[in-house]
Amino acid sequence: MDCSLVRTLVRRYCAGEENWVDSRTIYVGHKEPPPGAEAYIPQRYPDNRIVSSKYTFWNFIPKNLFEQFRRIANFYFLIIFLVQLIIDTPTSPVTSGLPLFFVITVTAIKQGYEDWLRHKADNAMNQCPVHFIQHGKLVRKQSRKLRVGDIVMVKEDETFPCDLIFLSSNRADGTCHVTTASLDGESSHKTHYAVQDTKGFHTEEDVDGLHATIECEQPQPDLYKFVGRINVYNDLNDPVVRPLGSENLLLRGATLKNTEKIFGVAIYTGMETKMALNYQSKSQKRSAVEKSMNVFLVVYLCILISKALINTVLKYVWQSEPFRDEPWYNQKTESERQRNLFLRAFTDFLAFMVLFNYIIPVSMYVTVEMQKFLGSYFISWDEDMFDEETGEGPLVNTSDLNEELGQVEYIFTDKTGTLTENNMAFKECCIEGHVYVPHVICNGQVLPDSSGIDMIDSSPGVSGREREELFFRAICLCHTVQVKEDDPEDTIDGPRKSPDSKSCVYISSSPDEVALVEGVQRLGFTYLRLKDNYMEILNRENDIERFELLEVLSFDSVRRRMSVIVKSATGEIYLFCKGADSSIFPRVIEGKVDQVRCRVERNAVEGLRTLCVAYKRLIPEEYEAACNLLQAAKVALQDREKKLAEAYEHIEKDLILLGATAVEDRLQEKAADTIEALQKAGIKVWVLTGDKMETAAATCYACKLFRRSTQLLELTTKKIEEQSLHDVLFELSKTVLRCSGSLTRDTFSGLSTDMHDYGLIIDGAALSLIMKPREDGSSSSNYRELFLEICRNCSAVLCCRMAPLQKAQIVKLIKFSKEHPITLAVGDGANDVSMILEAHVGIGVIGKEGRQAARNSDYAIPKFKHLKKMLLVHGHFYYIRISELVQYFFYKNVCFIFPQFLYQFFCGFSQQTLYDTAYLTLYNISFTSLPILLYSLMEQHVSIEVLKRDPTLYRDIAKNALLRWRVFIYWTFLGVFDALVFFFGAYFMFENTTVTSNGQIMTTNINMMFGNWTFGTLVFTVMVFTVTLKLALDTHYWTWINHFVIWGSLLFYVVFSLLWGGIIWPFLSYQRMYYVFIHMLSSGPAWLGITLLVTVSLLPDVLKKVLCRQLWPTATERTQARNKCLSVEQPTVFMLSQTSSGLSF
Amino acid sequence: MELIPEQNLSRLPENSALKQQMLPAHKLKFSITTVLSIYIATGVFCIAVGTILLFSAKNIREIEINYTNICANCAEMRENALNFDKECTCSIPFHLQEKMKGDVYMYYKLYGFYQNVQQYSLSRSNRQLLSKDIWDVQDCAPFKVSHNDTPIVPCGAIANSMFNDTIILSYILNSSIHIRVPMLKNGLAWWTDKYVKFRNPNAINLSNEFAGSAKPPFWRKPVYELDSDDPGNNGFLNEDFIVWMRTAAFPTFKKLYRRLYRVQYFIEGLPVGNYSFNISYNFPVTRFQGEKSVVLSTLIWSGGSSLFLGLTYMMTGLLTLLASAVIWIIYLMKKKNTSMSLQESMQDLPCRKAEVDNAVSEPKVSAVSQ
Repeated sequence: MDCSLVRTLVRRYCAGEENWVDSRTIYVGHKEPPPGAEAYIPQRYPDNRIVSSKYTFWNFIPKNLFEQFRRIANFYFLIIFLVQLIIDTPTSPVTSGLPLFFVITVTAIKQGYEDWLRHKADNAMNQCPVHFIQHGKLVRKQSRKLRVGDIVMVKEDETFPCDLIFLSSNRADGTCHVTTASLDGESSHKTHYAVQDTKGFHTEEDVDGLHATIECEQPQPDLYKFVGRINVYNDLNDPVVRPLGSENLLLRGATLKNTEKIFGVAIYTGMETKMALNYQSKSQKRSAVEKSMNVFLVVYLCILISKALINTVLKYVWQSEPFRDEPWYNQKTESERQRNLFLRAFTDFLAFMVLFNYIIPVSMYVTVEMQKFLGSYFISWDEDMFDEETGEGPLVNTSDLNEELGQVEYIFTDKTGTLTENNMAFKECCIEGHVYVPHVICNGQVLPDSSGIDMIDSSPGVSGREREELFFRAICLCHTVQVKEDDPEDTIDGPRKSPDSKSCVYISSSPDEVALVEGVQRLGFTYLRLKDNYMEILNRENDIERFELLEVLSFDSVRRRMSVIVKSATGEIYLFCKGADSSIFPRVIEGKVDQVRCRVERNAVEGLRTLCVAYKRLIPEEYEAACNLLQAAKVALQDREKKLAEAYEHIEKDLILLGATAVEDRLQEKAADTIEALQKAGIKVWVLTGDKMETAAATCYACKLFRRSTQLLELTTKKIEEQSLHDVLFELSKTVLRCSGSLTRDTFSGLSTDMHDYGLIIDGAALSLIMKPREDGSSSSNYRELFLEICRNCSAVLCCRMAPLQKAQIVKLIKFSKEHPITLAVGDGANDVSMILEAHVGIGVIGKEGRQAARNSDYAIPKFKHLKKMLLVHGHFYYIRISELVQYFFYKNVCFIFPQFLYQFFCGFSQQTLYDTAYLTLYNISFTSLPILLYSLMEQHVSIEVLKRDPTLYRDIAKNALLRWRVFIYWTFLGVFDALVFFFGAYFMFENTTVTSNGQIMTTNINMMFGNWTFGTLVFTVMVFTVTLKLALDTHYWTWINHFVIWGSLLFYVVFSLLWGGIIWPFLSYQRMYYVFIHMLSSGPAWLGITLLVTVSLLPDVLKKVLCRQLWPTATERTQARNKCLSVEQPTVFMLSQTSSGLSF
Repeated sequence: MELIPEQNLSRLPENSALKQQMLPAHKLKFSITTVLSIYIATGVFCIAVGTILLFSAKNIREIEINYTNICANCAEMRENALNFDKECTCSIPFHLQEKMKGDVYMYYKLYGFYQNVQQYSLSRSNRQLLSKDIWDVQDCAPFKVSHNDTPIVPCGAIANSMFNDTIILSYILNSSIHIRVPMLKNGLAWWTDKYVKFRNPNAINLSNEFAGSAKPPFWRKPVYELDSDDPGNNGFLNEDFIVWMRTAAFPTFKKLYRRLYRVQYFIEGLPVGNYSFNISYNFPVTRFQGEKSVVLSTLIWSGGSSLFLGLTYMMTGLLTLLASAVIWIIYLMKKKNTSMSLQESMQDLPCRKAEVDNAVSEPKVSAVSQ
């Protein structure tokens, strides 16, 4: 359902341009505002119908056909088909019509089915009942009839039918819990707040009595942003104005939880809901293979056109002699004579095009699509990539990029949750320089005796003890963790129980917070719940302390801190602030900053995530001021974000430092191993993280991205402050380039880059300086080039302090650098989505921070380590397979069509076909299709184990090695050579030999003359055998399926030919193939000829392969040989050579 | 939460060999011995076959006499289409130096006649030739109907242009005795053509059946008089006609005309001596700048007289052997190198391993704090 829900939103509704104003005004319950209120422009809103389907019943056929024929390939085939229908062509229209019809029909059925599903989903959505309030009564209506301004009631576990402003809930505090799992994948419960002035309206009548208008912005796709204002009209007073923010907005698609019912007023409906707007159709990514394929296609199209042109020209040259143009035995009809010469020439040209059109076969597209579609199952089936722990397997969201996995040159990986577990464990805390380590750090599991703590330093004094408790309280209070109450009865008794009875489970969107709260629980302070705006904590004496939660200054990634303002039972007001060291230290005026900083830095180096905690005591006046400031900012309709930020800035200052926490985010299993393997495979790994430099660098060391020998180059804000960016860049590039000479030579030979192994560290600020377009214009691109130059020569790059958009920027920078490398981005969080979408291949790690990354990715894997198999094994295989598929397809069609072309020289350029229609049609569809399809699904040129063991093999296929021009030309020439062998071999046999049939089979000793169809059949037979055997020679991995398919299709060809020629088919107007194949086979020389020609056409390729393997073996081939060495244990092993690797085909 | 383990089980991919890409497979092994043995075997095989073919081809005798120019006067006459019903005969004496043993076949061979031109090769009516509907001339343009609109039987360009020279071979025993060499005119066409694809109307008198039809414009006599002597060889079933109707693949082609009837003098084939072809020259070839000749040939199992197959087999065999020699030499050269470098790499391996081990136990902190 989840999936179809999203699919339902495939199409974005184009709202009319009319009435486009910045904000909209909604009359709650359609009640006019009292006179005197501002005049509003009435607007028209769409109803709540969701339309995601593309087609209706009526327009399906024309529209779908139109869509399909917009694809160049389909259009090309359509044109060919039409030409065949219109003009008098040698080949029957069936030969190209049938495959095209097949392809179109299958696609149409598939799309129709998908659209039918969408229709069903739409209908289900649009018709599901919704409760309205009408004149104080509850009415049930279909969802699609909902209008803006309607007041809606939603019950528990229902999804919201449209975007609602939350008016009231049955809870007294006016809150409700919501999960947005189907929106952004976060399954945690989020709390939303009703509008203050309406939260008392609990019944239908109450709500109906509400008289209010809402002003809000026009719909926009950002899920987390909403700005609006509600005017509540009371009978006497001036309207009360309240701000509305995203906490008041309930989004369509989210589900109500833990709340009996709520009332809300619809503000965005139908295709204007944020969910509908948010469905961004991912831009189609195309793989490098596909691009090369298209280039090859163009080449073949040119070949096709030039062939047709040559033949047309030659035809008229040849016909210029009248005895050839119209010999006595082949006179023209009157109408033919009278036709215009140019028209005739044009028709001839078209006819030649049609005759040779099989050189670009429809079936290639079908086969490639099938290969991709079926092949992608191997990823999702892969047991090795299944994670037992989470029960997640790999997901394939697109099958278009399978082979791109084998071409990756740059990997951009997120750190948290991708390289690391994102499974935080509270490691230690440092309070005023004293370090506290909880006994048990076990992945968040609490052992019974965990209340004790270790004090590393001497015990603090009394004031220290106070500070210590304040610190724990701060951690207990300053967060947005929710408590999931498993059992209500249990929680009532909760306080009486020991704190470690697992009565509560903490849920938060940030795992750090959970780790902190859990950690501090082990240190004696337990956060119990938030109840009626009071936070309850259980202190060491098992007493409940209640703090009134006054304000939450929520976390954002710019500020990198969050605060709460609470009022203790004694009436004191505290502000607790928690955040990254860099954002806390500048705002601290008191406390042992140096000791804490020292500790924080030490922890950061060890790869721990540190947070600093500070507090401030507020006197009531200060609180009032802060409160007003916040309120003002919150009400603002324009620039609310900015004003809020300013307010926060103002409030969070003059803090007193309490201490710091350290949370360990452990490396993912085998992360180091994976990175090492990827680097050996010649892939450059970049880590892009929002974390601070030290932490990130430590992680990089831990996961072997940086080695001991790596010389680190820093390009950070700190450094730029000292020198100008210009100087730093030039200095770095000088350092790097000094040794680049030796480096470039080394890059091929794998690991030996120890000598000059550079690692670059750059931070977000420095990056934006580099990326920033300069006023003087010219130098900006210089910096970029210089930066790229430095990056190219570094084995590893770490980018820290990156904003999500900067991640995408980096990916883009590399993607469009001059080598156009293939990039892969892997990440797990919402902040990685932009880079996942930007990179050639986006991989989502199915992580803890929601599934947004996984959903937006092309492939999703449960763990980072699976990337290794994904790229080194699957990617490699897919690439090998598809490149062979593409090349082989072109090859076999050159073999197919080139004899046809040659034959024109012998039949007076009259477009006589060499092969029978059945052969023309079936060659690509059945005689030669299955072996290559199966090859492209099954082939393993070396075993999975070897690929995993030896990552360097990945280099063999780097840079699209198997689809380079050289290889392409080789295949094409091989095709031409084979075609020449088939054609002229058969020609000389026919020309000089009396191809006879010996009399054993026939009753009398007859010898027969063979006509043109026998000739064609002979060529065709040789061709089918050669082409199939060529594939057999290329197959390294012979399973029974391969045997079955290869020998089966040869057998099928023979059986088909026997049947096709053995029976008078009543539906055919001609019987030209009757007994042709059988007669051919009954002739001795034909057998000899077939054997000879097949051998001759195969030998050169085999010879070339053998020689290349021997003289310039690639790493892969050496491994193949070495494996044999291990398995066969023969000293006479082929190609066990250690010569420097050269690249060969 | 408790539900998840159950889901796990269902989501766990099935562990079948196919899905894990672990199907048992036979891997092609290209070890030097296999490759070389395959190459040598192929080479030897090709040479053997080639030798056999060449030797057997030696026994084949073939004589071709191009009579386009020998009968120049006839050719000239035929230049003019108006003379088409004028008789013209010419006689070509020749001497057979070696006797032709076994079955001897007589062919006519045309040069430059494009039977494979598309329009030409389509210009026939299969329904007519099957006698399903002898008036069906639909596909036969431009020879559908004669001037007075009667349908042509057999219609179409192919039938119209049928080879119509009569070639008679005479054995000149001495200057006075000319023996006409007995020739068979059956058994020339494919059995299936004669008995399946071509049928006469079911009537005793063909001429009645075909009444109301016109003969093809270039024919001298109607179809039902092609062979008045043998009713089984008359009409559409005339084997010369059937042979002609199977269009040739190339502009130069040979078609079987007669085969030797091995009786009397000719029981063992054609004896040494003087012969002559008596040709009634009807078929104009100079008008399309073609030529024609008559061929006498014996046959063996491997086909006709050509050395093509044999030579190609020999060539392929030799080249294959050469290639295997090259492979062998390269292999030997490599072997010398590898035996040295193999030792090196053996020494190399442990060190590398040690390096890797070092790398594993790398301490974390050192280098960052700069």
